[in-house]
Amino acid sequence: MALDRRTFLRRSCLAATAMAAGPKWLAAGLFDRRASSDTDTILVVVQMAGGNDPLNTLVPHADAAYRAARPRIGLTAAQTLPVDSRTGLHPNLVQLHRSLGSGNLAIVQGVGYPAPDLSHFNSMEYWHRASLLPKRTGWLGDTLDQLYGGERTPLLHAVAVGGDMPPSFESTEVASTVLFDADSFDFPPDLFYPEDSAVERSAFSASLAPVGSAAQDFVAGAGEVFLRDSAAIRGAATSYREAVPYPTSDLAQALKLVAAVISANVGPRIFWVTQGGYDTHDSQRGPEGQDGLLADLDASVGTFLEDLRGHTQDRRVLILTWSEFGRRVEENGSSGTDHGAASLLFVLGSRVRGGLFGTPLSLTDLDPDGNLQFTTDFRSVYASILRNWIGADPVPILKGNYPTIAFV
Amino acid sequence: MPSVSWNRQRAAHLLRRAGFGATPQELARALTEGREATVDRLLDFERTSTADLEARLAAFRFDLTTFYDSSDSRNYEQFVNLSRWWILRMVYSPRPLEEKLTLFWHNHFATSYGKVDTPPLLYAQNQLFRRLGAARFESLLLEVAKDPAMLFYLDNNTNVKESIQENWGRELLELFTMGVNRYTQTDVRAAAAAFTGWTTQFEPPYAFFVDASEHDAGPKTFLGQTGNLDGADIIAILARRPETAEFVTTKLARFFLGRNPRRRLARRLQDLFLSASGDIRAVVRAILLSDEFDESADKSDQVKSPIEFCVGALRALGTTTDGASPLEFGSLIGQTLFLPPNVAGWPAWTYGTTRWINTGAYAGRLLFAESLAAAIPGEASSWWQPRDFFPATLGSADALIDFLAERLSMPPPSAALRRALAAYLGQMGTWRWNVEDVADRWGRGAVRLALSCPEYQLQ
Repeated sequence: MALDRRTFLRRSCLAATAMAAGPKWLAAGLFDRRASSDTDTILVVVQMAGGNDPLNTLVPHADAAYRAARPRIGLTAAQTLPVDSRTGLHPNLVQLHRSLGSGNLAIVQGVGYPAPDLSHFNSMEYWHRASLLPKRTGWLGDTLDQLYGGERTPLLHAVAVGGDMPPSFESTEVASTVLFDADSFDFPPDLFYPEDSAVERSAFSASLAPVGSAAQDFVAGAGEVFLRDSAAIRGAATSYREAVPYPTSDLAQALKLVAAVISANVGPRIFWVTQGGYDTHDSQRGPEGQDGLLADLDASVGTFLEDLRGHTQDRRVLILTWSEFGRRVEENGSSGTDHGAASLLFVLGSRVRGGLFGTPLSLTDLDPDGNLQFTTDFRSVYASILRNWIGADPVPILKGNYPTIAFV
Repeated sequence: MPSVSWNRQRAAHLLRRAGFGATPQELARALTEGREATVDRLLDFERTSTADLEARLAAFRFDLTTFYDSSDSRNYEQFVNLSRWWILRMVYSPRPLEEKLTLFWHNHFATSYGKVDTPPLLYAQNQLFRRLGAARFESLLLEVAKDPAMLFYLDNNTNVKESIQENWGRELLELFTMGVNRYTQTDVRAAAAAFTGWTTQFEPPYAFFVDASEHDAGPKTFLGQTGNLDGADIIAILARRPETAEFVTTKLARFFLGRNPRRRLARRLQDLFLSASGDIRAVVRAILLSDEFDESADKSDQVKSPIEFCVGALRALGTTTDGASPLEFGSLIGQTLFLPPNVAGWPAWTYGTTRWINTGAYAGRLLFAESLAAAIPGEASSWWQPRDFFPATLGSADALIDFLAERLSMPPPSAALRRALAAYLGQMGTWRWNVEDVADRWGRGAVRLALSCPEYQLQ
């Protein structure tokens, strides 16, 4: 049951590209805005949406409980990439396995939060807000406010590639940029009278004046930020020459755009990309299940890191992956797994201290609903990155003092 | 309510929120008929004939019922045509609220071609929403539980008694009826067990049937009720729960009000749902006739969904369209019919409609606006004729913006928009709109700017 999504997206993009192709009449002077120096550290977040199964990612193949729970979808020791005598990585995580060997991949095990309710949407909210209580802003939005709030001229600090603004970016003061791709991220030239494009852009810009209505001013604000950032981002993308060819997947293409913006030094320190599909209730081992997704993740992130090395940008960059929850220990009747609780995540980068962190998940000491119990609060991961990589104070952002982890 | 509260602004607002905007004739009719009669006409849509619409659709000769394997290119073509078929309905239907409710249920019972990949099943599900979208909630829910597209999407077709699959059971409680955390994990498992064996044939047409050999017929306890419960029992229990009444009516109210109803209206809708056996039509009528809905006309603070944005523009310009453009722009504008992001539907309809807009999604709307404004006959799949659209007599920028605001069903234009358009038109040098060059250059430009401005994104 496969949508030819790639074909679909390509068609959409072709329509857009055809539209966007036109004279590049925007002022080049907008390019040299720099929000932060080109040695500032950068965080790239990869959201693995849907709930990644930890037990088929870092496989406890020596555990009898694992083999008993996964008669059809389980992986054997021989199938996995060796980590230690009891565990191995999913066979499709080839490049991540190499990073683990070279000490640039940290795997944080048993990540979660208290009293999980197995809802995708609640769980994502907790992770985005870094709060188990409802909250309007996100953990990275709060970080942006702390670092860049009150700027006289608001600059470009955070970029999400994809269709949606990640709630993690929602802030009080600092607006982030979201783009689907670079081609579409331009004020469209007038197709009939190209010479009118500049005056139409000015008129559009003038129509964005605040009027005192929250909704209208919100929309106008997005228009302002779009006009502010489109030239810088399109400039970065069109002039970029990647050091290694990227795969064609949406995730890889999004990371390529991130690499281009990083290399162009136009300011942003925080990036977001999303890979969906991890809600593997059925056919988890198939090419469209977790097996295929992890292969895509591995190839995309591996290429991205290699490209960053080629541009000597790798030492500035730390990659964090996360997924809203793990999955049930036992496989279900559809060769998949249902919603679970604790999971794991990856932290990668040339300056990351690699290895396994946190306590391994126990497959026998389960919570009252039969789910894996977390051993590391996800906010400890955030605290470590904020304090020791981004240089922000995590305490007000996380509303608490969470112990840091030594991966960075 | 006294008829004194009925005016041009409120009528236009109703026709935007309960439809996709109005022509001047439709607005005049609503003003003459009054508020309640207009709401009744919109809502009792069976009284309005769709013969012209069906004739128009028949001319496209869409094949939406033949099953093609997912590897067959005709499968994707059929998905495109299914989207076009629905867009054409929205653009040309004389029953806009029927299509709006279908859109509401498509979001509520979100089902994606990305997983189902069988357009005839999505077509059947869409027709189910059109058939029962204003009926009793329990009837709708029971049909959704048996709907092959939903059975595939949430995997209940593989939910069997030896190996229970929770996907449908969980989302049924969390997203379709009660709302999260108003039940226990044990209730989720009991619901899943009750639906074991509710499956589809292996071959087209993938008809629903209950496979008794895979059904767990034993006793279960669900929300405190114990018995040999099956799926229909679960539906019957859920449809009568006050939590369901609150969850569903709040979501309906949010769809039309643009935000959660206040306590008093929320309570009234919940009581109405329970006393009227879940009559959706009665709930929607109460929402559209509420004081809160009237108040919402005073500040248009709901961001249009991308589909509402596209359809509204196509309708307002009197476009001749093949229905393809909203799909072509779907990824850029942030909404593609039959491809909701996940089972919870589009987050903007849950968390607040400003989520429809971000820098990239706005850029996508600007592209759509320019592509439509510039579309000429013979070269585009959607086109309109500026020389026919503009009257010859618009002698000032203000007259032009008033004309556009009415014809495009816009909320009242801001002073900033008036100034922006005046500055733009200041370079025109003539006001003769019936001259082709003038209408093509400045008319299309003005329409492009009107469709792009912040006001037009709101309703």
